[in-house]
Amino acid sequence: MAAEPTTDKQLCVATLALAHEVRAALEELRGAGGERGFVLREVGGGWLLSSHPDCRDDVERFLLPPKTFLSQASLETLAIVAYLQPVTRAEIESLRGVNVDGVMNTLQQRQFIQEIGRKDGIGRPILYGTTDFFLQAFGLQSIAGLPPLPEGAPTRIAGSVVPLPLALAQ
Amino acid sequence: MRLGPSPAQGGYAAGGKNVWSSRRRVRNHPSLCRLGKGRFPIAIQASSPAARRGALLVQLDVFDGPLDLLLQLVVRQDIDIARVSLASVCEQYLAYLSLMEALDIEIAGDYLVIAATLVFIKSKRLLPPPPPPFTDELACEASDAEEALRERLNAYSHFKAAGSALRERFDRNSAYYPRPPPDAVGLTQRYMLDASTLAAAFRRVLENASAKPPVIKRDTYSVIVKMNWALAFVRRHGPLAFSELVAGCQTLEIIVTFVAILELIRQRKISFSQSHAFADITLAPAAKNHTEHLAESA
Repeated sequence: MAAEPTTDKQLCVATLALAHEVRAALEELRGAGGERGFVLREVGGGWLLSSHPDCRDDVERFLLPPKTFLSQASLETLAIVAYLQPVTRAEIESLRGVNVDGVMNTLQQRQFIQEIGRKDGIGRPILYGTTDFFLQAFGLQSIAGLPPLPEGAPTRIAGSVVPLPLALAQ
Repeated sequence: MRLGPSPAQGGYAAGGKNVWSSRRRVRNHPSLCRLGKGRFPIAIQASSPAARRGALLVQLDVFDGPLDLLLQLVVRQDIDIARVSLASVCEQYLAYLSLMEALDIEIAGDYLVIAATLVFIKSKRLLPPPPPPFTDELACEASDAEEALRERLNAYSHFKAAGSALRERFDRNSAYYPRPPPDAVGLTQRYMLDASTLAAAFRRVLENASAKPPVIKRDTYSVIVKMNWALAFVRRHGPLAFSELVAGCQTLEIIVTFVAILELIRQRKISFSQSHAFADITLAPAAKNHTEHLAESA
Protein backbone atom coordinates (compact mmCIF):
# COMPACT_ATOMS: atom_id res chain seq x y z
CA MET A 1 0.00 0.00 0.00
CA ALA A 2 1.68 3.17 -1.23
CA ALA A 3 1.92 6.36 0.82
CA GLU A 4 1.91 8.52 -2.29
CA PRO A 5 -0.47 8.67 -5.24
CA THR A 6 0.14 5.78 -7.63
CA THR A 7 -0.35 6.36 -11.33
CA ASP A 8 -2.29 4.12 -13.72
CA LYS A 9 0.97 3.32 -15.44
CA GLN A 10 2.67 2.14 -12.25
CA LEU A 11 -0.33 -0.08 -11.51
CA CYS A 12 -0.25 -1.54 -15.02
CA VAL A 13 3.42 -2.41 -14.63
CA ALA A 14 2.87 -3.92 -11.19
CA THR A 15 -0.20 -6.01 -12.11
CA LEU A 16 0.76 -6.89 -15.69
CA ALA A 17 -2.76 -5.84 -16.67
CA LEU A 18 -3.97 -3.61 -19.48
CA ALA A 19 -4.77 0.03 -18.86
CA HIS A 20 -8.52 -0.38 -19.22
CA GLU A 21 -8.54 -3.40 -16.89
CA VAL A 22 -6.68 -1.45 -14.25
CA ARG A 23 -9.04 1.47 -14.72
CA ALA A 24 -12.10 -0.75 -14.36
CA ALA A 25 -10.70 -2.38 -11.24
CA LEU A 26 -9.91 1.01 -9.73
CA GLU A 27 -13.41 2.30 -10.45
CA GLU A 28 -14.85 -0.81 -8.79
CA LEU A 29 -12.67 -0.28 -5.74
CA ARG A 30 -13.62 3.37 -5.61
CA GLY A 31 -17.29 2.40 -5.52
CA ALA A 32 -16.81 -0.32 -2.90
CA GLY A 33 -14.57 1.43 -0.43
CA GLY A 34 -17.18 3.72 1.08
CA GLU A 35 -18.79 1.02 3.21
CA ARG A 36 -15.51 -0.32 4.51
CA GLY A 37 -13.97 2.71 6.12
CA PHE A 38 -11.57 3.51 3.35
CA VAL A 39 -11.83 5.35 0.06
CA LEU A 40 -9.88 5.29 -3.13
CA ARG A 41 -9.33 8.80 -4.43
CA GLU A 42 -7.79 10.26 -7.53
CA VAL A 43 -5.48 12.99 -6.31
CA GLY A 44 -2.16 14.48 -7.29
CA GLY A 45 -2.08 12.69 -10.64
CA GLY A 46 -2.61 9.18 -9.23
CA TRP A 47 -4.64 6.98 -6.93
CA LEU A 48 -4.41 7.12 -3.18
CA LEU A 49 -6.06 4.94 -0.61
CA SER A 50 -7.20 6.93 2.43
CA SER A 51 -9.43 6.48 5.42
CA HIS A 52 -13.07 7.48 4.89
CA PRO A 53 -13.95 10.98 6.13
CA ASP A 54 -16.74 9.45 8.24
CA CYS A 55 -14.08 7.64 10.23
CA ARG A 56 -12.11 10.82 10.79
CA ASP A 57 -12.65 10.92 14.55
CA ASP A 58 -11.64 7.31 15.01
CA VAL A 59 -8.58 7.68 12.87
CA GLU A 60 -7.50 10.81 14.70
CA ARG A 61 -7.94 9.14 18.08
CA PHE A 62 -5.58 6.45 16.85
CA LEU A 63 -3.04 8.51 14.89
CA LEU A 64 -3.09 11.62 17.09
CA PRO A 65 -2.03 13.80 14.14
CA PRO A 66 -0.58 17.24 14.88
CA LYS A 67 -3.10 20.03 14.35
CA THR A 68 -2.39 21.62 11.01
CA PHE A 69 -3.01 25.31 10.81
CA LEU A 70 -2.70 27.53 7.79
CA SER A 71 -2.72 31.27 8.43
CA GLN A 72 -4.68 33.72 6.34
CA ALA A 73 -1.40 35.05 4.97
CA SER A 74 -0.22 31.56 3.99
CA LEU A 75 -3.46 30.78 2.21
CA GLU A 76 -3.56 34.02 0.26
CA THR A 77 0.04 33.57 -0.78
CA LEU A 78 -0.58 29.95 -1.67
CA ALA A 79 -3.60 30.98 -3.74
CA ILE A 80 -1.50 33.46 -5.68
CA VAL A 81 1.19 30.85 -6.35
CA ALA A 82 -1.41 28.25 -7.33
CA TYR A 83 -3.30 30.46 -9.76
CA LEU A 84 -0.46 32.49 -11.23
CA GLN A 85 2.42 30.01 -11.27
CA PRO A 86 5.18 30.28 -12.26
CA VAL A 87 5.32 33.41 -10.14
CA THR A 88 8.08 35.55 -8.65
CA ARG A 89 8.25 36.85 -5.09
CA ALA A 90 7.98 40.43 -6.36
CA GLU A 91 4.72 39.64 -8.14
CA ILE A 92 3.27 38.07 -5.00
CA GLU A 93 4.36 41.00 -2.87
CA SER A 94 2.81 43.57 -5.15
CA LEU A 95 -0.45 41.65 -5.12
CA ARG A 96 -0.51 41.27 -1.35
CA GLY A 97 1.01 44.65 -0.54
CA VAL A 98 3.36 43.19 2.08
CA ASN A 99 6.65 41.38 2.32
CA VAL A 100 6.12 37.64 1.88
CA ASP A 101 9.56 36.23 2.72
CA GLY A 102 8.46 34.56 5.95
CA VAL A 103 5.29 33.12 4.49
CA MET A 104 7.10 31.80 1.43
CA ASN A 105 9.67 30.04 3.62
CA THR A 106 6.90 28.42 5.66
CA LEU A 107 5.09 27.27 2.53
CA GLN A 108 8.31 25.82 1.17
CA GLN A 109 9.04 24.05 4.45
CA ARG A 110 5.58 22.52 4.40
CA GLN A 111 6.25 21.46 0.84
CA PHE A 112 3.27 23.20 -0.67
CA ILE A 113 5.42 25.25 -3.01
CA GLN A 114 8.82 24.82 -4.63
CA GLU A 115 11.26 26.67 -6.79
CA ILE A 116 10.62 25.69 -10.37
CA GLY A 117 13.19 27.75 -12.20
CA ARG A 118 14.33 31.25 -12.85
CA LYS A 119 12.78 33.97 -14.89
CA ASP A 120 14.66 35.37 -17.85
CA GLY A 121 15.20 39.02 -17.19
CA ILE A 122 16.96 41.38 -14.85
CA GLY A 123 18.17 39.64 -11.72
CA ARG A 124 16.84 36.29 -12.92
CA PRO A 125 14.33 36.07 -10.04
CA ILE A 126 13.30 32.66 -8.73
CA LEU A 127 9.99 31.33 -10.02
CA TYR A 128 7.73 29.45 -7.65
CA GLY A 129 5.06 26.83 -8.30
CA THR A 130 3.01 24.35 -6.33
CA THR A 131 4.15 20.80 -5.53
CA ASP A 132 2.51 17.42 -6.00
CA PHE A 133 2.07 17.39 -2.25
CA PHE A 134 0.00 20.55 -2.57
CA LEU A 135 -2.36 18.73 -4.95
CA GLN A 136 -2.59 15.83 -2.52
CA ALA A 137 -3.14 18.02 0.53
CA PHE A 138 -5.90 19.96 -1.18
CA GLY A 139 -7.50 16.94 -2.85
CA LEU A 140 -6.80 18.05 -6.39
CA GLN A 141 -6.14 15.81 -9.35
CA SER A 142 -4.18 18.56 -11.12
CA ILE A 143 -3.78 22.34 -11.05
CA ALA A 144 -6.50 22.54 -13.69
CA GLY A 145 -8.86 21.26 -10.99
CA LEU A 146 -8.69 24.53 -9.06
CA PRO A 147 -12.00 26.38 -9.17
CA PRO A 148 -11.73 29.18 -11.73
CA LEU A 149 -11.42 32.71 -10.37
CA PRO A 150 -14.28 35.09 -11.12
CA GLU A 151 -14.05 37.35 -14.11
CA GLY A 152 -11.83 40.38 -13.65
CA ALA A 153 -9.38 38.54 -11.42
CA PRO A 154 -5.72 38.73 -12.36
CA THR A 155 -4.57 36.00 -14.71
CA ARG A 156 -1.31 35.27 -16.43
CA ILE A 157 -1.38 36.06 -20.10
CA ALA A 158 1.77 35.58 -22.18
CA GLY A 159 4.01 35.62 -19.13
CA SER A 160 2.73 38.72 -17.37
CA VAL A 161 0.04 39.13 -14.77
CA VAL A 162 -2.99 40.87 -16.29
CA PRO A 163 -4.36 43.29 -15.27
CA LEU A 164 -1.19 44.60 -13.76
CA PRO A 165 -2.05 46.14 -10.43
CA LEU A 166 1.58 45.86 -9.56
CA ALA A 167 3.39 48.34 -7.42
CA LEU A 168 6.27 47.39 -9.70
CA ALA A 169 4.66 49.39 -12.45
CA GLN A 170 5.03 52.59 -10.49
CA MET B 1 -15.29 58.67 23.79
CA ARG B 2 -11.69 59.33 24.42
CA LEU B 3 -8.82 56.97 24.22
CA GLY B 4 -8.00 57.03 27.90
CA PRO B 5 -4.68 56.65 29.61
CA SER B 6 -2.83 53.57 28.54
CA PRO B 7 0.68 52.30 29.07
CA ALA B 8 1.16 52.52 25.34
CA GLN B 9 0.66 56.26 25.42
CA GLY B 10 3.46 56.60 27.91
CA GLY B 11 5.57 54.59 25.52
CA TYR B 12 4.70 56.97 22.77
CA ALA B 13 5.73 60.02 24.77
CA ALA B 14 9.00 58.39 25.70
CA GLY B 15 9.68 57.22 22.19
CA GLY B 16 8.97 60.64 20.83
CA LYS B 17 8.41 59.44 17.28
CA ASN B 18 5.67 61.24 15.48
CA VAL B 19 4.60 60.44 12.00
CA TRP B 20 1.64 62.75 11.76
CA SER B 21 1.80 66.08 13.41
CA SER B 22 -1.98 66.12 13.43
CA ARG B 23 -2.07 62.96 15.49
CA ARG B 24 -4.02 64.48 18.37
CA ARG B 25 -6.67 65.79 16.08
CA VAL B 26 -6.85 62.43 14.36
CA ARG B 27 -7.27 60.77 17.70
CA ASN B 28 -10.23 62.92 18.64
CA HIS B 29 -11.72 62.64 15.20
CA PRO B 30 -15.34 61.47 14.87
CA SER B 31 -14.20 58.33 13.07
CA LEU B 32 -12.62 57.16 16.29
CA CYS B 33 -15.81 57.88 18.17
CA ARG B 34 -17.43 55.10 16.22
CA LEU B 35 -14.99 52.67 17.73
CA GLY B 36 -17.39 50.80 19.93
CA LYS B 37 -20.26 50.63 17.51
CA GLY B 38 -18.83 48.08 15.17
CA ARG B 39 -18.14 50.58 12.42
CA PHE B 40 -14.47 50.27 13.01
CA PRO B 41 -12.56 47.03 13.24
CA ILE B 42 -11.57 47.70 16.81
CA ALA B 43 -13.32 46.84 20.03
CA ILE B 44 -12.58 48.41 23.35
CA GLN B 45 -13.28 46.48 26.52
CA ALA B 46 -13.80 48.78 29.44
CA SER B 47 -15.03 46.19 31.94
CA SER B 48 -11.93 44.05 32.10
CA PRO B 49 -9.75 44.02 35.23
CA ALA B 50 -7.09 45.85 33.27
CA ALA B 51 -9.50 48.72 32.64
CA ARG B 52 -10.18 49.03 36.36
CA ARG B 53 -6.49 49.51 36.93
CA GLY B 54 -6.70 52.52 34.66
CA ALA B 55 -5.40 50.75 31.60
CA LEU B 56 -7.45 50.52 28.48
CA LEU B 57 -7.65 47.18 26.77
CA VAL B 58 -8.02 47.45 23.05
CA GLN B 59 -8.66 44.48 20.85
CA LEU B 60 -7.46 44.83 17.32
CA ASP B 61 -8.39 42.68 14.39
CA VAL B 62 -5.17 41.54 12.89
CA PHE B 63 -4.73 42.75 9.37
CA ASP B 64 -2.55 41.14 6.88
CA GLY B 65 -0.99 44.20 5.41
CA PRO B 66 -2.33 47.54 4.21
CA LEU B 67 -4.42 46.13 1.37
CA ASP B 68 -6.18 43.82 3.78
CA LEU B 69 -6.97 46.73 6.09
CA LEU B 70 -8.22 48.88 3.24
CA LEU B 71 -10.32 46.05 1.87
CA GLN B 72 -11.98 45.49 5.25
CA LEU B 73 -12.78 49.18 5.51
CA VAL B 74 -14.31 49.17 2.04
CA VAL B 75 -16.25 45.96 2.68
CA ARG B 76 -17.67 47.48 5.85
CA GLN B 77 -19.24 50.18 3.72
CA ASP B 78 -21.16 47.56 1.76
CA ILE B 79 -20.15 49.17 -1.49
CA ASP B 80 -18.69 47.52 -4.54
CA ILE B 81 -14.93 48.04 -4.88
CA ALA B 82 -15.49 49.35 -8.37
CA ARG B 83 -17.70 52.20 -7.12
CA VAL B 84 -16.49 53.06 -3.63
CA SER B 85 -14.75 56.38 -3.21
CA LEU B 86 -11.42 55.53 -1.65
CA ALA B 87 -11.28 59.04 -0.20
CA SER B 88 -14.21 58.08 2.03
CA VAL B 89 -12.18 55.46 3.89
CA CYS B 90 -9.12 57.67 4.19
CA GLU B 91 -9.96 58.92 7.68
CA GLN B 92 -10.70 55.48 9.02
CA TYR B 93 -7.49 54.17 7.54
CA LEU B 94 -5.46 56.95 9.15
CA ALA B 95 -7.28 56.52 12.44
CA TYR B 96 -6.39 52.86 12.43
CA LEU B 97 -2.75 53.62 11.75
CA SER B 98 -2.60 56.17 14.51
CA LEU B 99 -4.15 53.65 16.87
CA MET B 100 -1.54 51.11 15.81
CA GLU B 101 1.11 53.64 16.57
CA ALA B 102 -0.40 54.53 19.91
CA LEU B 103 -0.22 50.86 20.79
CA ASP B 104 3.41 50.73 19.73
CA ILE B 105 2.68 48.32 16.93
CA GLU B 106 5.33 48.72 14.33
CA ILE B 107 3.86 50.22 11.19
CA ALA B 108 5.46 48.92 8.06
CA GLY B 109 6.36 51.30 5.28
CA ASP B 110 3.81 49.61 3.05
CA TYR B 111 1.05 51.01 5.27
CA LEU B 112 2.44 54.51 4.95
CA VAL B 113 2.65 54.37 1.15
CA ILE B 114 -1.04 53.60 0.90
CA ALA B 115 -1.84 56.19 3.58
CA ALA B 116 -0.03 58.81 1.52
CA THR B 117 -1.93 57.77 -1.60
CA LEU B 118 -5.26 57.99 0.22
CA VAL B 119 -4.47 61.44 1.60
CA PHE B 120 -3.44 62.58 -1.86
CA ILE B 121 -6.66 61.29 -3.44
CA LYS B 122 -8.74 62.85 -0.71
CA SER B 123 -7.00 66.21 -0.86
CA LYS B 124 -7.70 66.38 -4.58
CA ARG B 125 -11.33 65.53 -3.90
CA LEU B 126 -11.74 68.27 -1.34
CA LEU B 127 -10.04 71.14 -3.14
CA PRO B 128 -12.16 73.02 -5.66
CA PRO B 129 -10.68 73.09 -9.15
CA PRO B 130 -8.50 76.14 -9.76
CA PRO B 131 -10.14 79.00 -11.65
CA PRO B 132 -9.13 79.40 -15.32
CA PRO B 133 -6.64 80.03 -16.77
CA PHE B 134 -4.94 77.82 -14.18
CA THR B 135 -5.10 74.08 -14.54
CA ASP B 136 -4.58 71.40 -11.94
CA GLU B 137 -1.88 69.21 -13.37
CA LEU B 138 -2.15 66.70 -10.55
CA ALA B 139 -5.89 66.14 -10.94
CA CYS B 140 -5.32 63.38 -13.47
CA GLU B 141 -2.65 61.86 -11.32
CA ALA B 142 -5.05 61.66 -8.38
CA SER B 143 -7.65 59.79 -10.37
CA ASP B 144 -4.94 57.57 -11.81
CA ALA B 145 -3.68 56.85 -8.32
CA GLU B 146 -7.19 56.02 -7.17
CA GLU B 147 -7.70 53.75 -10.17
CA ALA B 148 -4.38 52.00 -9.55
CA LEU B 149 -5.17 51.49 -5.88
CA ARG B 150 -8.66 50.27 -6.74
CA GLU B 151 -7.12 47.79 -9.16
CA ARG B 152 -4.70 46.50 -6.52
CA LEU B 153 -7.55 46.23 -4.03
CA ASN B 154 -9.61 44.33 -6.56
CA ALA B 155 -6.79 41.93 -7.38
CA TYR B 156 -6.09 41.40 -3.70
CA SER B 157 -9.76 40.72 -2.93
CA HIS B 158 -9.80 37.93 -5.50
CA PHE B 159 -6.87 36.16 -3.93
CA LYS B 160 -8.19 36.69 -0.44
CA ALA B 161 -11.37 34.93 -1.55
CA ALA B 162 -9.35 32.24 -3.31
CA GLY B 163 -7.38 31.77 -0.10
CA SER B 164 -10.56 31.19 1.90
CA ALA B 165 -11.75 28.72 -0.74
CA LEU B 166 -8.43 26.90 -0.41
CA ARG B 167 -8.86 26.74 3.35
CA GLU B 168 -12.25 25.07 2.98
CA ARG B 169 -10.79 22.63 0.50
CA PHE B 170 -7.88 21.91 2.83
CA ASP B 171 -10.17 21.35 5.80
CA ARG B 172 -12.45 19.07 3.79
CA ASN B 173 -9.47 17.16 2.54
CA SER B 174 -7.98 16.84 6.03
CA ALA B 175 -10.72 14.32 6.80
CA TYR B 176 -8.96 11.80 4.56
CA TYR B 177 -5.95 10.11 6.04
CA PRO B 178 -3.68 8.32 3.63
CA ARG B 179 -0.98 6.03 4.87
CA PRO B 180 1.72 8.29 6.33
CA PRO B 181 4.98 8.31 4.38
CA PRO B 182 7.61 5.99 5.83
CA ASP B 183 9.82 7.85 8.25
CA ALA B 184 13.54 7.84 8.41
CA VAL B 185 13.62 4.77 10.71
CA GLY B 186 13.50 2.47 7.71
CA LEU B 187 16.59 4.11 6.31
CA THR B 188 18.76 3.54 9.39
CA GLN B 189 21.89 1.61 8.52
CA ARG B 190 23.55 -0.83 10.81
CA TYR B 191 27.31 -1.21 11.12
CA MET B 192 29.41 -3.82 12.81
CA LEU B 193 31.56 -1.81 15.17
CA ASP B 194 33.38 -2.40 18.40
CA ALA B 195 35.31 -0.26 20.81
CA SER B 196 38.71 -1.09 19.33
CA THR B 197 37.73 0.24 15.88
CA LEU B 198 36.55 3.42 17.53
CA ALA B 199 39.80 3.75 19.48
CA ALA B 200 41.82 3.17 16.32
CA ALA B 201 39.84 5.85 14.47
CA PHE B 202 40.38 8.29 17.34
CA ARG B 203 44.10 7.57 17.33
CA ARG B 204 44.25 8.26 13.60
CA VAL B 205 42.48 11.57 14.09
CA LEU B 206 44.96 12.53 16.83
CA GLU B 207 47.92 11.60 14.66
CA ASN B 208 46.61 13.63 11.77
CA ALA B 209 45.93 16.58 14.02
CA SER B 210 49.43 16.63 15.51
CA ALA B 211 51.11 16.20 12.12
CA LYS B 212 52.88 18.97 10.26
CA PRO B 213 51.42 22.47 10.47
CA PRO B 214 49.38 23.50 7.45
CA VAL B 215 51.32 25.25 4.71
CA ILE B 216 49.79 28.11 2.81
CA LYS B 217 51.02 28.10 -0.74
CA ARG B 218 52.24 31.38 -2.07
CA ASP B 219 50.25 32.75 -4.99
CA THR B 220 51.98 31.99 -8.25
CA TYR B 221 51.16 35.41 -9.58
CA SER B 222 50.40 38.45 -7.49
CA VAL B 223 48.30 41.37 -8.70
CA ILE B 224 50.59 43.86 -6.92
CA VAL B 225 53.75 42.44 -8.51
CA LYS B 226 52.04 42.38 -11.91
CA MET B 227 50.89 45.97 -11.46
CA ASN B 228 54.40 47.20 -10.78
CA TRP B 229 55.81 45.22 -13.68
CA ALA B 230 53.06 46.26 -16.14
CA LEU B 231 53.32 49.93 -15.20
CA ALA B 232 57.10 49.93 -15.68
CA PHE B 233 56.77 48.02 -18.94
CA VAL B 234 54.11 50.31 -20.38
CA ARG B 235 56.07 53.40 -19.34
CA ARG B 236 59.24 52.13 -20.94
CA HIS B 237 57.76 50.82 -24.19
CA GLY B 238 55.03 53.40 -24.76
CA PRO B 239 51.64 52.49 -26.21
CA LEU B 240 51.33 48.79 -26.77
CA ALA B 241 48.59 46.20 -27.12
CA PHE B 242 47.43 44.08 -24.22
CA SER B 243 48.12 41.01 -26.33
CA GLU B 244 51.81 42.00 -26.52
CA LEU B 245 51.91 42.43 -22.77
CA VAL B 246 50.70 38.89 -22.14
CA ALA B 247 52.34 37.22 -25.12
CA GLY B 248 53.43 33.71 -24.15
CA CYS B 249 51.66 33.77 -20.76
CA GLN B 250 49.53 30.99 -19.27
CA THR B 251 45.80 31.56 -18.69
CA LEU B 252 46.21 32.30 -14.99
CA GLU B 253 48.99 34.80 -15.62
CA ILE B 254 46.86 36.54 -18.31
CA ILE B 255 43.98 36.84 -15.87
CA VAL B 256 46.19 38.27 -13.11
CA THR B 257 47.76 40.70 -15.57
CA PHE B 258 44.32 41.79 -16.75
CA VAL B 259 43.17 42.42 -13.16
CA ALA B 260 46.40 44.37 -12.56
CA ILE B 261 45.72 46.49 -15.67
CA LEU B 262 42.15 47.15 -14.52
CA GLU B 263 43.48 48.34 -11.17
CA LEU B 264 46.08 50.56 -12.87
CA ILE B 265 43.36 52.08 -15.08
CA ARG B 266 41.23 52.69 -12.02
CA GLN B 267 44.13 54.43 -10.36
CA ARG B 268 44.60 56.42 -13.61
CA LYS B 269 48.20 55.38 -13.99
CA ILE B 270 47.47 53.82 -17.34
CA SER B 271 45.08 54.93 -20.07
CA PHE B 272 43.50 52.56 -22.55
CA SER B 273 41.62 52.56 -25.82
CA GLN B 274 39.69 49.92 -27.71
CA SER B 275 38.33 50.39 -31.22
CA HIS B 276 35.32 48.10 -30.73
CA ALA B 277 34.10 45.35 -28.42
CA PHE B 278 36.50 42.38 -28.15
CA ALA B 279 39.15 44.25 -30.10
CA ASP B 280 42.67 44.31 -28.70
CA ILE B 281 43.17 46.89 -25.96
CA THR B 282 45.85 49.52 -26.46
CA LEU B 283 47.58 50.60 -23.26
CA ALA B 284 49.57 53.77 -22.74
CA PRO B 285 50.99 55.53 -19.71
CA ALA B 286 48.50 58.08 -18.42
CA ALA B 287 49.23 61.75 -19.07
CA LYS B 288 51.88 62.79 -16.57
CA ASN B 289 50.23 65.92 -15.24
CA HIS B 290 47.07 63.96 -14.58
CA THR B 291 48.87 61.41 -12.46
CA GLU B 292 50.58 64.11 -10.49
CA HIS B 293 47.33 65.89 -9.99
CA LEU B 294 45.88 62.71 -8.53
CA ALA B 295 48.89 62.18 -6.35
CA GLU B 296 48.53 65.67 -4.95
CA SER B 297 44.86 65.29 -4.24
CA ALA B 298 45.53 61.97 -2.53
